Amino acid sequence: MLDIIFVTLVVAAIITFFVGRKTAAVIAIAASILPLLALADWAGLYGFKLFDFLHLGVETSAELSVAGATLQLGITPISWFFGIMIMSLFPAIMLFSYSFFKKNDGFYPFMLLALFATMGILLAKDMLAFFLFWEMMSWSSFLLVWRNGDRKATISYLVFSAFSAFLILFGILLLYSQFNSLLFSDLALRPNAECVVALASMAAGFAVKGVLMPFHSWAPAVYSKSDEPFVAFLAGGLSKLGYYGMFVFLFILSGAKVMDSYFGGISPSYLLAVLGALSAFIATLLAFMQDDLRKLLAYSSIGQLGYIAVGFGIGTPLAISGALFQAFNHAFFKAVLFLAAGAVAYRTGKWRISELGGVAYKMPMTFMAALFAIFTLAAIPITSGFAAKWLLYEAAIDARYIFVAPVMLIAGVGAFLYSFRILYGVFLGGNCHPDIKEAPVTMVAAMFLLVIPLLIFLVFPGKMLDMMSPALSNLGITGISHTDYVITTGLASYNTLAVIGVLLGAMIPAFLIYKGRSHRVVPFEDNYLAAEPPALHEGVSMHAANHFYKPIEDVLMPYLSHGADSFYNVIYGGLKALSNAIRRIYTGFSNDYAMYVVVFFLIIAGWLIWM
Amino acid sequence: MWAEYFTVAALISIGLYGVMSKKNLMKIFIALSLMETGVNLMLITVGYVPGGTAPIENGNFAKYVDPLPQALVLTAIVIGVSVTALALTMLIWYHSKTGTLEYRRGMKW
Amino acid sequence: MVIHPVLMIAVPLLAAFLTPLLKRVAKQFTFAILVLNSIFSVLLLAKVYNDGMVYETIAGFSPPIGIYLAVDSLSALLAFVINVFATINFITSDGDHRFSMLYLLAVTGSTGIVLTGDIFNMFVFFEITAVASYALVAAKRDRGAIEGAIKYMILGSVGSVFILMGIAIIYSQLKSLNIYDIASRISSMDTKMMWISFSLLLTGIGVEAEIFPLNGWVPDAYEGAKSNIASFLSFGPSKAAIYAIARLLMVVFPYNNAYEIALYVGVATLVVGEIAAMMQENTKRMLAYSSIGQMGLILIAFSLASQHFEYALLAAFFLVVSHASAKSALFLLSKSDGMPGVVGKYTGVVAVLSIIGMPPFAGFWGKWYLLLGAAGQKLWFVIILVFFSGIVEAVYFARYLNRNYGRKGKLPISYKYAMVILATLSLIFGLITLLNSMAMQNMLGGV
Repeated sequence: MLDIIFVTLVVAAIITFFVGRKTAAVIAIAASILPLLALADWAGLYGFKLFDFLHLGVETSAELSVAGATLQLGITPISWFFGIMIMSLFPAIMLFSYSFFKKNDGFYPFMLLALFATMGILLAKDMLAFFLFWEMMSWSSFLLVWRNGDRKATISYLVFSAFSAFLILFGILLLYSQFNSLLFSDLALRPNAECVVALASMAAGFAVKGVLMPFHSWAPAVYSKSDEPFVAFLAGGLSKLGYYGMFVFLFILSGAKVMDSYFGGISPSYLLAVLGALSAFIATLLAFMQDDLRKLLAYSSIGQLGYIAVGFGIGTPLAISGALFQAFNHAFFKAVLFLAAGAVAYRTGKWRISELGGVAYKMPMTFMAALFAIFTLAAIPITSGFAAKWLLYEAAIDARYIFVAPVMLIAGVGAFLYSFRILYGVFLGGNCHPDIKEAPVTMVAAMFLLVIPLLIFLVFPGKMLDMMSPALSNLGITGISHTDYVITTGLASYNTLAVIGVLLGAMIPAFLIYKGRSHRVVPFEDNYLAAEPPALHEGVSMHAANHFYKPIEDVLMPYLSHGADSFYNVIYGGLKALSNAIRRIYTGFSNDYAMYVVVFFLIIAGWLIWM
Repeated sequence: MWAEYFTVAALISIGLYGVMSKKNLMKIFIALSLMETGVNLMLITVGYVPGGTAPIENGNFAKYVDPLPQALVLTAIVIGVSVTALALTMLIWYHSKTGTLEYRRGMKW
Repeated sequence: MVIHPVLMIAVPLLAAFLTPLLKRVAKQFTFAILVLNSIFSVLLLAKVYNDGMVYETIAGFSPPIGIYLAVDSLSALLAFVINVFATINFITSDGDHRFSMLYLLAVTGSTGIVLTGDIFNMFVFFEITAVASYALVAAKRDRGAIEGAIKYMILGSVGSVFILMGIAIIYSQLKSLNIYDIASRISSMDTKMMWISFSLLLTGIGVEAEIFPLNGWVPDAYEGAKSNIASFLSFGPSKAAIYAIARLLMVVFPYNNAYEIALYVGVATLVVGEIAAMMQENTKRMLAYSSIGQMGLILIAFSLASQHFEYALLAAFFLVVSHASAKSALFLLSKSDGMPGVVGKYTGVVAVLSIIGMPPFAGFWGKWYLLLGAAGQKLWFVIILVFFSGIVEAVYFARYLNRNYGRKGKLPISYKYAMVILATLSLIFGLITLLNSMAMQNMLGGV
């Protein structure tokens, strides 16, 4: 059955290349549901009897023979967890794309190949299979970036993908040379120099795809210049694969313990947590200065993913649970946000927040989905985002990470600041396009489909912890004590039913009281903001949708301009100079070439005779 | 034997010098011919047996030089001729296209 | 069916001399001969896989006096690659009977280099290939082509002089021209002479095999030649020459010093080639430098064979096949200005992905086995440099894909067919395996 799924995906990818766009979309939706069926079938292994009626009998392990090498595949609890997170995005994205694209020029085939590669990565049981599918994922997503024709995005994505792949491969080769085997089960990591270098290299490689600073430089350009449905997958799904890789090597293979014991006092896991916190902080700062909605969401993504790194870095059961919970949430809310941005762009043709406004009155459904996603992003209490972040904050405090915890909290506030910009600048306010309609049905349906898991885990965060527990118990980590709606950690407990009850108890009367009172929708300029009159400030009109945070921007820009980006630019410049220098070897005169021949002979003969 | 090897070395060196430093294509091809002649001479010298006669069967089987290198040299001469012919043809084309037999000044990398 | 390897050389040779007589039907006749030769190569491949090495003596004189053909599995594979790809490439030809004759001669020569077991015979086939290639490069008759051909000719002639000197020295010491005979008696040779002859042979064959710094002719020749000739050059003469170097290295001079030199030279070729490719604006020139880089990779693969025979040869095979199919497809594509139509985009994408080393294309397996072999020998500098050149490749190929994405262009229909077949071959070779254990055993000295 498993091989049928694989083959169907490839065949569907080939077919969708040739048919018209509506047919292609339908085929893609159908094909992308298949992996979910497999996941549902495997759910029985991990304690969820919900789908036992399916009786599909998908095998839990398989072997694939390609070009003389054998790839081992099999499902593990953590693969299952990440699989649900990532592969559920696909049907919704395909549904959304049904109306989004004007013609079929390669979106569906490459997305199906990306889904195929994702399945491969998650099911890989040996390093060759893992790396093979990882590279396949790299190039299928690269082709999706290439389709949009932006030069900087194309080059930076391929180069960073290659860089990430080589870091991972370097780690694989080091481990292979030590253990002489490619199977994950054969890697018994020990605290010696080779293993540590391998782990560090791999962590860096995964960090590139998981957009952890300082390896994130490709993300803003690529996210903002590619089609939104693809970016929904890129931000929601692909980045999680980086963290999946980190999880496998740091926790399943005990890499974190090995690194920490090698370095004695200073633990590299702390470095991971610090990088995560800094990512969250700096990216959040950069996010609320952006005018381009997609760039804002890109930096917001970098920030929110940083939390996962913090959780992995802290490494306690509380932290890992929080990190995995955050990963799950991020997949869905980020996908919804990018799809909503896509829907808004589809209807209005604009991406800049300064040009948008009041969209909610014409596109209410899109607004509701985006609103819910933003609540989850900003970790407003009662959402599942709050549950995840709360676990992470508790973990940081519990582990006495003095630097990390406050930075994370400030980043959380920053998240709220840019969420405000998205909400107010794009959806609310009075400056609306007169002639836009609600997004097409398929787009709205797709967004709501992706909101459903967020709703479920809002009410039942305990169920999320149940999903993680097979993976954690394999590592010998006991989970946090919880029931379906109550999570109890060492420091406090969180009871969703109680909170929901209180909230509804307050909201319903408020709604009844204030409903029917008249209200007035005002344009942005006619508004007080923090007791400042909306007069021109140094010639720039500042309101919620335009240069809202300009004062902060003016203060912070000098510090933020020297970042990882300039470092990569310097390297690129150096490469170009080197290339221009080496080109001069080929002068174009055969005399020089003949001299090279003679010199080569003399050097070789001399070296061989006198060695 | 030293005279032959010395001649070989001289011919090949002069040929190499010509290829490495002359800008006129005709001179380069002449230098190449010199090199090939030098190598042919080297091959024959390798097969020399002191006191041997030409390897033609005519009854008195005393000593004869090694016939194999002579066959090799015949082949090499033919190859050299064909390359020279092709080279001269291309030289004519080059001249008709650029009007000169020298390398043009522009370099390209 | 009994197949004589000599047929693979004799038939195209005879056909080459017949083509001037068949002026009108030269193209079809040549194509038929090429197809016939490809069929022969498949039969030969089957025979070598089943029975082991195939020897054939020519003209009745038994070795070591006579010339014989020694076909091991790598030779048979290369002969297969050269002939099949030459057939596909010939679909695109638009020349007259003279072009067909030169083409057949080049194929004869390349096939002869890989099949023969006699070193002077190899030299003769080298010259046949080389002269035919010089003329093919110049066939376009414009200034760039002639200049490229002249540079190629000058360097090629210098190379052939070096080869002949190397042969002379070997003969003077061992009095034999048979490769396997020389190999068995090499230890009785004076060490200085042996190394001098090795250097001479490496330099001479290396000119044709495009290794650094002997490859000055490559950018100009590939840029000036017609696209289908550049395509032919990338899988014909250069692959035969690198195979000759491999044979030299592994059969005749299997010493650690020699392998080490080959490794350093290969690494230098790779790095210089890839870096120089980065800033090229002209597509053909960029592809030419990229070809240099790939030949460096193949040489590195062969040089790892001293300790990791299986990985090294698997890597070499996959790299040869991937580069031959993908680079030739890209050269054919370069005839137009961009990537016209679905066919153009498909070819461009598949070929670029194969060269960069993405699975499941053949290039991935090449790089994978090469890196695995290098890791086994703890050659970390090699691995890091291969990674570095991989990143540089990503830069210029991404730029190439991006530049050509929107551009249309015109391509003759024959080019489109050939391109698609070649690009698909690089996918197919990545999925199936052409090497079985029997083949590995008798390859170039065996496991």
